[in-house]
Amino acid sequence: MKVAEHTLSFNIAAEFTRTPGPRYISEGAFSGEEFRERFLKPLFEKAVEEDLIVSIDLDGGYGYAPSFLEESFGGLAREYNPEAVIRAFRWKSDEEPYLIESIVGYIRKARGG
Amino acid sequence: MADFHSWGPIEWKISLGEIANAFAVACTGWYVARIIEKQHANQRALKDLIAFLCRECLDHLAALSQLLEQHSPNGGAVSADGSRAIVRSLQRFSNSIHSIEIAAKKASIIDRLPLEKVKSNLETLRTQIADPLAEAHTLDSSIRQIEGVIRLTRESIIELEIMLHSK
Repeated sequence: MKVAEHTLSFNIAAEFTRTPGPRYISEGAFSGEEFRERFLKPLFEKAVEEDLIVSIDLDGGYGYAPSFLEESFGGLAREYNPEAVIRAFRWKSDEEPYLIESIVGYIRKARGG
Repeated sequence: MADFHSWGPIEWKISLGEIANAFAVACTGWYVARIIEKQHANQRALKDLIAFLCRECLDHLAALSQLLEQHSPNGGAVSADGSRAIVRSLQRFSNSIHSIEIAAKKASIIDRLPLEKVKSNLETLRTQIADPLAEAHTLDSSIRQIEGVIRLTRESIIELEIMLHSK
């Protein structure tokens, strides 16, 4: 985890796994649920507390199942607030740009929004 | 003022100022016509580019279908290498749609093309393929449904290209 002025950076492939898994911990390793509980929630809470932006790098891995991303970011939005989550995060995905649009969609729909 | 003599009830007279004015109008008309022609040529080139990108997108979709057939012809287990190949193919297909969107935005015709339908089908395809692969390296009995979504996606890209040429 790198800290630049007003920004926390996090690379999923380097700091969590290059092989993101299924939705739930019960379904297998490196799940979206695990990623959310171990990394996203602490990052989000730190960002809100210290008024930072969390920059998530989605590149470098073997790809993401939609259920992984939905459980990670959509799950976070269900627990907190969709707009707060969107404000706290920025995403980088040179390898597959549409992942970002999908993530924002999951966050907005997390509470029927 | 030059007098080109009378012809019946019509008198032909023209001044240097009128000649200069006519020349200026003609030059302006010619210049505007050139600009419009260039803009039309640019628009045609952009449409041709988008049409090419649509064909490339269909090729990527066909490649994905072939990979699914190769690695899971009846549904069921897919090897780790097969899973990665399929996910990479999905990535290429997704990025080919992204390229169409970028080109359409540059051509300022994004609002006239049904790209959201294509993207919606892409999301469905990703869910039906990548989710079961991530959970259990298998496509199970969803292979028929996947082919159904591939058909819908193909038709939405074809519809997009038809709309492109009809505008």
